[in-house]
Amino acid sequence: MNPILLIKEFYSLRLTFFICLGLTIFYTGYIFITDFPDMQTEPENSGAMETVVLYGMLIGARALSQEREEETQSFLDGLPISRSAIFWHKALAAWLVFASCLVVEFVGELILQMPSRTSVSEVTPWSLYPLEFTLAMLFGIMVIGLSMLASFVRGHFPLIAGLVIWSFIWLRSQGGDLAAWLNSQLFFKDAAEVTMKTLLGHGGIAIIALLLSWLFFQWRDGRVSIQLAHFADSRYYSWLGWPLRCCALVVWVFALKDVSNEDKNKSHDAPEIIAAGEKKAATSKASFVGFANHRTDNYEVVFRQSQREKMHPLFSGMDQVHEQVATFFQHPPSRDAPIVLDVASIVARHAGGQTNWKKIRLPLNKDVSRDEFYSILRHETGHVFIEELSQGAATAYFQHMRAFHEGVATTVQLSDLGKYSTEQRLKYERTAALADERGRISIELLCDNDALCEKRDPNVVYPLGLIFADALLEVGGPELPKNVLTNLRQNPPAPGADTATLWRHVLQASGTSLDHILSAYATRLKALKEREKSFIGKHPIIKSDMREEAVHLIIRPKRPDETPIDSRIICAIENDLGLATELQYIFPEKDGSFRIPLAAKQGGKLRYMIGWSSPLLALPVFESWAEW
Amino acid sequence: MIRGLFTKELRQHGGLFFFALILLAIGMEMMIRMNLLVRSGGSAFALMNMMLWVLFPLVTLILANALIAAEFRQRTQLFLEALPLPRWLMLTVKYLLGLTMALLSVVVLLVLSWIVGVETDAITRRFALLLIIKASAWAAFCWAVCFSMAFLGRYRVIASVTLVGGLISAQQWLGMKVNRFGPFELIGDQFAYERSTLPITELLITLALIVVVTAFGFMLGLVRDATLATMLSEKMSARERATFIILTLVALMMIGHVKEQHENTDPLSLPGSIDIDNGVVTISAAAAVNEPTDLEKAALKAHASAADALLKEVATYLRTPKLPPLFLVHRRDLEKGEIENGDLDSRQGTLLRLNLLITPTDDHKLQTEILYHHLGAHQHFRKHLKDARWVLRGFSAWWPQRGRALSAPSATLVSLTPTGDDLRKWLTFEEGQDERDAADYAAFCIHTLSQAGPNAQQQFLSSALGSTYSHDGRGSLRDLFQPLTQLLNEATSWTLDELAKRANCQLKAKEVQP
Amino acid sequence: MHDLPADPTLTPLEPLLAVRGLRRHFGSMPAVDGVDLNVYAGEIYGFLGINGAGKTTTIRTLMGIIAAEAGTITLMGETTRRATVEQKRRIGYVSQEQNFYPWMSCRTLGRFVRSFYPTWDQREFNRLLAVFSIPEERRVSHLSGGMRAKLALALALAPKPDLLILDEPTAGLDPVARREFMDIIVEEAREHQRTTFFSSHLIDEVERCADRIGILHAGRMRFEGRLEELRGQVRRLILPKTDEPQEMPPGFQIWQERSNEAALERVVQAPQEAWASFSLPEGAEVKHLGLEEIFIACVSTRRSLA
Repeated sequence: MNPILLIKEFYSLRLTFFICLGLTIFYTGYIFITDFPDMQTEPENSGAMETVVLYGMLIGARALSQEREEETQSFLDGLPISRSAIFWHKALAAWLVFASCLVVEFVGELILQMPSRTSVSEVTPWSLYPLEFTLAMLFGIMVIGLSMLASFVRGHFPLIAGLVIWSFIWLRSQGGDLAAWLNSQLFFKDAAEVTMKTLLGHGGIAIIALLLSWLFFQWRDGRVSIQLAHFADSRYYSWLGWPLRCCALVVWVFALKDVSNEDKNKSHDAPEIIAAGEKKAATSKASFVGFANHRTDNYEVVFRQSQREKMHPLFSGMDQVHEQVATFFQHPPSRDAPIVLDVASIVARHAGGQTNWKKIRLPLNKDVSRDEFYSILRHETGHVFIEELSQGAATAYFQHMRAFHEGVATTVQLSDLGKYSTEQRLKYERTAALADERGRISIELLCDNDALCEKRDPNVVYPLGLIFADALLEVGGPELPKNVLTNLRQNPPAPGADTATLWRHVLQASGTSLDHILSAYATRLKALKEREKSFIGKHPIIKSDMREEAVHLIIRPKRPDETPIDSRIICAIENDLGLATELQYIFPEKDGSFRIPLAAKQGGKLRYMIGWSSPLLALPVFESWAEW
Repeated sequence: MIRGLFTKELRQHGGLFFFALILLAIGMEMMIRMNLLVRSGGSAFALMNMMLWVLFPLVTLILANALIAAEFRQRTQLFLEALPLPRWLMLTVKYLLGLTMALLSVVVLLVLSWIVGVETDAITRRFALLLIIKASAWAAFCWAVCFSMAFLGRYRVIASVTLVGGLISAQQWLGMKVNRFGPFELIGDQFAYERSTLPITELLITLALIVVVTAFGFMLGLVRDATLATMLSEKMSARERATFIILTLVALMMIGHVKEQHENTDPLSLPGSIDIDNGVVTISAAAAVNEPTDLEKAALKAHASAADALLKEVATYLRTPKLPPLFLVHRRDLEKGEIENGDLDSRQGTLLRLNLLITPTDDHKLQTEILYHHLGAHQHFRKHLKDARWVLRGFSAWWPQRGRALSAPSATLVSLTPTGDDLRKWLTFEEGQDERDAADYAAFCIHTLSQAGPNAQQQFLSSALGSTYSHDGRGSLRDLFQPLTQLLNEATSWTLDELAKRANCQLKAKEVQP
Repeated sequence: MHDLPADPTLTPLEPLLAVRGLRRHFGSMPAVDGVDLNVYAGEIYGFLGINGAGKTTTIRTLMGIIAAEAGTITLMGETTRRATVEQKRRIGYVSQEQNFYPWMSCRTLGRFVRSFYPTWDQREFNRLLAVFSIPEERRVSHLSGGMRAKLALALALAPKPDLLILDEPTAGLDPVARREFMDIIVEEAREHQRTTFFSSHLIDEVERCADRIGILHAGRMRFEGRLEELRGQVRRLILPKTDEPQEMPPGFQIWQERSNEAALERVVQAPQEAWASFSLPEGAEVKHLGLEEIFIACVSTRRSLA
């Protein structure tokens, strides 16, 4: 061990240390300037893993590559020291610099955490700090090792780093053993829960990465680097180089997207109506058989030739549907911009129709009646009007506007006062009453899509959205929906506003108040629950027995005696399609139990819901999400 | 001459152009194969939209780097300048070639989308033309920006990142509608679905931007015989790098600060409210119905007046010149005793919802809630979260009962003989007890302060609850240098232990007279 | 390779550095192709070759910076394929390019290098810096090329090495700086009896300073020995042009041949005693050559030399 060499290596990496110090000082200063530093009681570990990864990457990337960039490797080679020794000095120095950065981070955290401690604070107990620090150090070795290895590819370090991170995220999401070996989040969120498996998994990767880096560094006098340098000078690389660098950006975008778990599907869907007992047939893409279109005053209809016979009788009523919607919104239709109605394309499994801006996809199911078709068309056309009036702002604030979107569209859908719509409305109201009885859904929850989907069935937004829309109309009259959209467009709330703030802002600008709406909504729901008391009584909360059997979770619900014969208990799980999540219904076995494959687990947990399906309900009503 | 230049550029970068096109095509093909995306997006042209946003700028970045930045970095432009051709011609050839490749990329995307879209989209002539015009305008804009950026040499990456980061920050945090502006609107959400309206304004803005940005690029490439561009292409020194990192950090902090400033703290107003402004506090009482009955209107007025009197008196007692606004909302659907907090930002004030018809104006619980939430908001909730909450709890429970018999805490709590430490760790103490019980005990402690001498109680309470805080670190520092125990000692010469002891004595003796 | 017989008047010494059969390829190209050389204690050995001859590769192999594919290196009595760390501690090395850490000052650099050499003499280092007029506190990045070369020499000499290896140390220096540098080398060598092995393509430098020289060409040694020996063996022979072929007697090797209308000029190598007994044809002339002409003839010969 040459302490001077170690100091030199330490000094070479000083920039990263200063960046860390600078970040910590700035962040702490920022808190001092904008908030009370002794009221930082939120869990401070959020972002800790990302910080550690960032520092580890910065340090690991520079440790070996700096010598190459400064062309001082040949100078070191001329000194009486072996390449192996040089490598291990660099690795040790990198780890020490990382440790220094970690110390600075922890000190910064302490500066904010210490005064923020109260007698019931949720901040990290003192006893966990040494453990957290140690785990972060161990995690850092892995990151440094991987970064040192990736630094051999020179300018493509971001691409390799992005691919490694994305792989980690993907492997973790597969659940099972892999998640246990590679669950890095435990190091920072649940230090006490770290298992030996996790330690071994990360330790193993660290050792392999360091050994490979050592090998590449000293094998045949750094032959790997020399060969890569030769390749970098070649003509082929001059074509490959920049495109590969740009791929790094794409990789990072997708990796960060996976980490943040954004809501990916922002199209507006009509709920699919499932008759009790009917299994949903899979929709498959038909082979190309030729298309045709038909133009009405307000729609441009695209359909397959094979659908012509079924579509023809429906054309005549479409413009009337459009007029009904235009009347509802008090907004004249624009004749020169027809809405595209596509009955030929497929939509998501759970949806009866989907709308994107001015395009409606409405698959023409075999048994759909004329009334049903027009009903869904009214719903989707409602979405088009909402988008047009808000010029896309309703989608921009989708997180808080989904209930409005679906609620108003459902209101429009059922506004024609025909027999079908009247019956449907009763069903929706009944559904809303039963859903609210299962657990109060306030407007604040209803209008916070993430929180709602986390707690309840996302489809509950349709019946309760209907009640919400009714409340809006009751308080603000028929022009209120239009005013809300106009104000959202012209005078949007501050970015990052939460649900209550957004709605308070928008409703105040529209001449009413959130409290008016809250009051009307609560009153209506109360009245509905009173009206449907008997039905609710016959469909109580379902109690079930559960056990694991081989690769399934078996749920055996206990069906109450007073429940009507045509009401069925059903189950649903979440199906993560990568870019979207959809509900997958599980139908009961002959003995009434549900078999859920344990492979459907995500992140080690299986989320499921149990609920009622009845011909008297517009949609199945589920209880809150349960976890196994 | 021009042909020679074109040939040289194509020979030098032809492989790269081809590779970039392949990259685009592969990306598009992969996306097409992801059936879910087509279903989710609703149109094959939605995929093209995504490609225009994500991959296409990268392609133009590659082109600009190859055509411009690499030339200056490798100093081969010096060789070209020695030839008998004007510098502007050299740059024009590069510009036109890059523009051609960019437009060619758009054609590739369009063709691929068309192949899929034929089956799912009703493609009319007008629709197709709209797509072509918008995509081409975007392509030209991207190319112009990347072309100009390339002349910035070693600063081009920083400039690009700053530009993109700045636009995103402006959109997300400053509320500027960047995505509705000019070229960004062209490829906005409606790109794949807008079938008839030609966005003339956005096109003109885009064209203007293209001209300006291109002119800037040419200026960078030609000014001072291109020595500026040559200088910029040199490698960045370590000092420069460190400076930029620090500047980035500072910029991030400033953006965060501006974001904080922009958070919505609009003043709240309730339609149809009855307002009373006594110069110290504004009270607004409104019914959450369109047409309140006469009884309700009377109740609103009565409650507003009562709240006004309450808060004015409290403000005088606590010697505070100003309190934030108070909003009372009458809700018919709420039951007796049900009071909801509206969770406003402390700068907006306090909002409470209750059924005013069935709640008397002098209701103890109502007054307690008003004082608790309002004085909490007045001090930016510092007393809510800190262990000094006993003061706020106690005062809120004590004040409405002044001049009357205080509710005593339960015998169980009294038998615990709470100490000064329990007051110091009030949150733990409160958590372990019934909330109301704990509030009653705190009220007793406040009541006990009167034993410390004339004005001692008022002095302590006014310094603990009446003062305002600036919403930054100074508030924390103030509490650090003037903790509650010090304020207590200054006002009463007691410690917390002594206070608790005296309160316990009182309780045990069952002295409940004020 | 020509290995002229040693001068019998000299005491046979074991070489401090002996290389046998050294080989190193880069891809399919042989950079060093069976090099043998001997460097004796106390001498200044000039390693001569044109650009691309393989001098730097040979030196880097000696220093263990790159590994040899075949051959042995006997350094201070120890035979290895590659120089060990212990051996390197006894060698002072100045590379062709001085790639020092730009952020270090001269003093800091000295402190850094010192940590690798147990025999480091700080006083000697300071003395050398003073002699070379190198400011201690100045950053390496602010030194001129000549000062960097001198700094490199100071770093190489401060550990009092047994062997000093210099790889084209005066490359890029102006004539004055070059002369200064080589004077210092010679002075150090003479004063401390330090064995010095330096490579160069500058003939005058080698001629002035070296005791023995080795000529490397295309990865192979063409000559090794004392300068006087070389001068004695290689001469220019000017023969009148005739119709008949003019063969050389056995033992005489033609390194270069040029002809014009009137005469045939040959650069010929032969042992000195062979020259002594050589009878000059009528009209022929023999001239002694300078090292430059000998070197040019040596490296440009196309005939394989035994």
